[in-house]
Amino acid sequence: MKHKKYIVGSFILFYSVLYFSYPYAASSYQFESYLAPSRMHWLGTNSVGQDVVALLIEGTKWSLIVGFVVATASTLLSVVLGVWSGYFRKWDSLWNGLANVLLVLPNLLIILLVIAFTGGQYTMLLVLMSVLSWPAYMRIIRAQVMSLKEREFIQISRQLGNSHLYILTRHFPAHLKSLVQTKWIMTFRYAILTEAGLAFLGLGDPVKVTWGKLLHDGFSNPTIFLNGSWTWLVLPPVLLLAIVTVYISFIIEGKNVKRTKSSLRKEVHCTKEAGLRGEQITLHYGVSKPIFENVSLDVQRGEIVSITGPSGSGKTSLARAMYGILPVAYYEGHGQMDGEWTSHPKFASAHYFKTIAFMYQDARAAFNPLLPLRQQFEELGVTQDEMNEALKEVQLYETIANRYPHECSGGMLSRVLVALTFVWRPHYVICDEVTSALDPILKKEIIFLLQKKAKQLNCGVLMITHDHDVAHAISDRTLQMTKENRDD
Amino acid sequence: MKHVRLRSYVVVFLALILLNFALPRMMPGGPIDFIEGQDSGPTLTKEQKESILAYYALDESPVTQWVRYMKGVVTLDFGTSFQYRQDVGAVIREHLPYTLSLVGVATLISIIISIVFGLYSGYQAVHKGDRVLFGTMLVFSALPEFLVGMFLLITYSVMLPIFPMSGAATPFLENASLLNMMLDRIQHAVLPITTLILATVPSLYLLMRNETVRIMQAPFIEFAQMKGIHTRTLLRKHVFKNALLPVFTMMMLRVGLTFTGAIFVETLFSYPGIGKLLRDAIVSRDYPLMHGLFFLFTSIILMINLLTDWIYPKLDPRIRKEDPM
Amino acid sequence: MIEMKNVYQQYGNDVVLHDIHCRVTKGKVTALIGESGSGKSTIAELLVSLRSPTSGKIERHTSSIQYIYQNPERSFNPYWTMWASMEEALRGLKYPKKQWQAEIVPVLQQLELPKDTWHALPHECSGGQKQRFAIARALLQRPDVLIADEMTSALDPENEKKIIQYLKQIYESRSMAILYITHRFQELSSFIDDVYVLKEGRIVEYGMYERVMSQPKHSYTKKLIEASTYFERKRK
Repeated sequence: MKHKKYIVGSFILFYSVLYFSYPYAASSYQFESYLAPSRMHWLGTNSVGQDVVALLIEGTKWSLIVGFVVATASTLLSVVLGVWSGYFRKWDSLWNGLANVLLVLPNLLIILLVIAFTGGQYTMLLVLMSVLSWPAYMRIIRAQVMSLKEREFIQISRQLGNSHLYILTRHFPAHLKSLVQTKWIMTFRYAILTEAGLAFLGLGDPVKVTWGKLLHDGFSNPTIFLNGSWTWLVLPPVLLLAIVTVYISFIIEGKNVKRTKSSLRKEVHCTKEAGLRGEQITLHYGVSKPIFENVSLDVQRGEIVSITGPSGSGKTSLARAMYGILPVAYYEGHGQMDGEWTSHPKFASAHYFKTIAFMYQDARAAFNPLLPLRQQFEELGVTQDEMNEALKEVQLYETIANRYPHECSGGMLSRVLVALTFVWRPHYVICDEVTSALDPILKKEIIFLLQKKAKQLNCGVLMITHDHDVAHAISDRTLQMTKENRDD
Repeated sequence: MKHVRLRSYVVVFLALILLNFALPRMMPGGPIDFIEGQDSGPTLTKEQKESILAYYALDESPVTQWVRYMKGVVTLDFGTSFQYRQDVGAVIREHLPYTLSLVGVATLISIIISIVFGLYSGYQAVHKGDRVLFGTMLVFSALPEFLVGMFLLITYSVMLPIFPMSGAATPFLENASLLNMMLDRIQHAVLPITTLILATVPSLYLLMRNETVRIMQAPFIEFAQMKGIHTRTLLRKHVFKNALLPVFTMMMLRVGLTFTGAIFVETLFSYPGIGKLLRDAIVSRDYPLMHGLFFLFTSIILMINLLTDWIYPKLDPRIRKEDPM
Repeated sequence: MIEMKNVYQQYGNDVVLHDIHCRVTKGKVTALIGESGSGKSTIAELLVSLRSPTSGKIERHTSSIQYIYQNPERSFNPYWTMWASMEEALRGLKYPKKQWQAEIVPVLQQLELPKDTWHALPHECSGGQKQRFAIARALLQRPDVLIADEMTSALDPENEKKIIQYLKQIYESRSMAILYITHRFQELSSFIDDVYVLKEGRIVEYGMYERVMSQPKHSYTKKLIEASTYFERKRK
């Protein structure tokens, strides 16, 4: 949306030129009814002899004013109340409760109820819409403020002795800016559409000309569809409304739409050598500067190979590339296992967790929170007995399988992950930072389990870790990656 | 949490009942002077004035008025419609089925379409299929019911006269066999239902798509892919539920909005449901009918909310265990 | 400098801290060791008055306490340059604005932060650099007590070693108290004076660092030390 400024600017320019130079007034009824568009009347006249362009000019003004006034008032309300209740927590339950109550019922119903008794005067509508439309974003802003307030840099700022006013005026605006912009634009659209809808129902202000009023006047007379006058009476306001609101949607969404490269097809010729091998892998994430270049390594059955290196060295991506799960557009070279290309479309269903398994770094994040553990075993195709045996081998009771992940401790989940990894007796296992988040005692236990299972099954293990001690203590070979490249 | 929500429903309900009682009585000079004071609306006949006065019983004390009013609310007796000269309940009962079938069918189709498209689009995120769908939905998401309806009406009733412009059935239908009558009704309902669907789907779809995109980046999805699970199983077992849960409440709220959308659609297509009834009641100042209809709309929307709160914990095991209620 | 006496902390029905006695003294580096969930961070938050204890007493003989957080990614306003964050630390103190530069530069130089990062935004600096900036910001206030909560656990071992060296160097050049909170033993070594071992909200062992390391009394401490140093020993 680079051209946003120009589009909005030229609209305003065009509109003001028309506004000041168009010869007819919206209030004059001096022409014949249903004149077709001509050089005199660009969009003809309506049933009572008003010039349609003049009406549109007038309607545009009042419709846009609804948008501006309501958007500004409602945005102010939601920011002030959101910050007030989120930051100071004063009267929080009152404002939040009120917002909840207002959110339960659609605004429209309340507006209808009130204007049924008071009539739909223009100012009345402005006030009603402003007062009813703040809650949704007030809640979002409140939540954002509450989480910001707990953020470390705000806490630090407080400890450095800064006042609330300073924090609110210096730290907060940049964080709330995009939220406030979105809220304003959304409300702008909401207000214009709601007013138009009410006017269309015949419940708006009867004397103010707006886009909705023009629609209502058009539709209240069914003959327009017979004499063809709908093309200049109904179509222009419909199109104006549609264009403005659709354009607003694209402004809002334009903020967060991005494109990615489509994946490349590539041909790979695998050598026949045994073992899990990475061949000449260069990681570049589809951009020019590579993270590392031409890394080759192999893991044979029965040995433990470790890759160590600081964060950002690309070791986790290397593991994913060798497993064949990293999109091929992100790297050159390939991974192969016993002569088969790991990124081949058929490799996954044939070998994943059967001959080669991946042990995920964070056990809590690796399990689907909405499925009991049993189902996360069963989807691999293992039987009840196999699962129970696997669980027993990591010193867990069978009943744990009926639990959901959130009902297990971190230690249990780590052990379940080990059980899952080895349940099909794979030939190779890739372990990605499996111990880095664990406390020392659990770490030792999990590594012991891993070592034991690998030995028992004559498994080739590729360990990714940033812990040099662990790497050197358990591996047959260790590869170290630096930020720039690989050392052996 | 649950109690808080329940409490806010009760508050909403009471507030609306109170508002409905207080508004006409708070108007300067009472409802009649107020209506007459406005330069809009139809001028009231003497008979109408009398019926309004009798309806509000303004000569009685406020307490008696309140008691009488609440008695009406509790027994669901809202009085006699000025316009139809019939019991309000009977009038509503006659029109309700039209709206229920419109909204029911539209809601069902909308939910299915938006979940399927949202899942597909989120899974394919930023590839071609997704971009086309996403762009289209974005356009439609900006358009309210009455604009979508107008486009459909102009295209399929005026320019290409395939569907009838208004009503729920052709009066004095020739060849009125049961089958023909049904076909006729369906033909009349197509445009209103399509309008409601087109107005409802985009927002549901966008919710579902964005959530799917988010879930697709979750570690457990990557891990599930590492297990070599098929795409369809992945979407069905791992993505679907995780993506649906966070937006479930929002989606159900949106469904509540479909009922207010019906007010516009029915008015546009002159479809004789309770939406058009409400609009006409407001325009012709049929207060008893309005009272009954506001009560009905509020109840329906609160019921949907209650239903949502009741179903949600059954879908999410994380809540079920913590809160056995 | 700060002393906790008989402190209990409760969230709802969960008692997170049981009868905590501990002391942070000027001129000493005190370490607090425990697994995640043992209540370490709660103690830190009590010390800097981010919370108040359910019962018990906390005596503070200074108000100048600075806290360094675990995650350097979240410690800086992402829209501000590092320099602006440094200046923020001086706002509350009574220096004239002209002097700010003279205050900030030596600290950044001491921490060997490259000049091109001084005016960079947080996302342009590495995690290790950010953590050094965090130390710098804390030091600008010339605190009496510095609390470092899992300060290095988000960093890789190379950066971790560097940070600890800087901390040691700073500690030697200024006189203050440091409370070092961690779940690992091996990173501490040389410069620790006293150690508290925390398990499930209770202090199970307290003593001089050398003593605790060589002759742990409590079985949990033994197990923790054994597991912490296991791979290191095995490597040799």
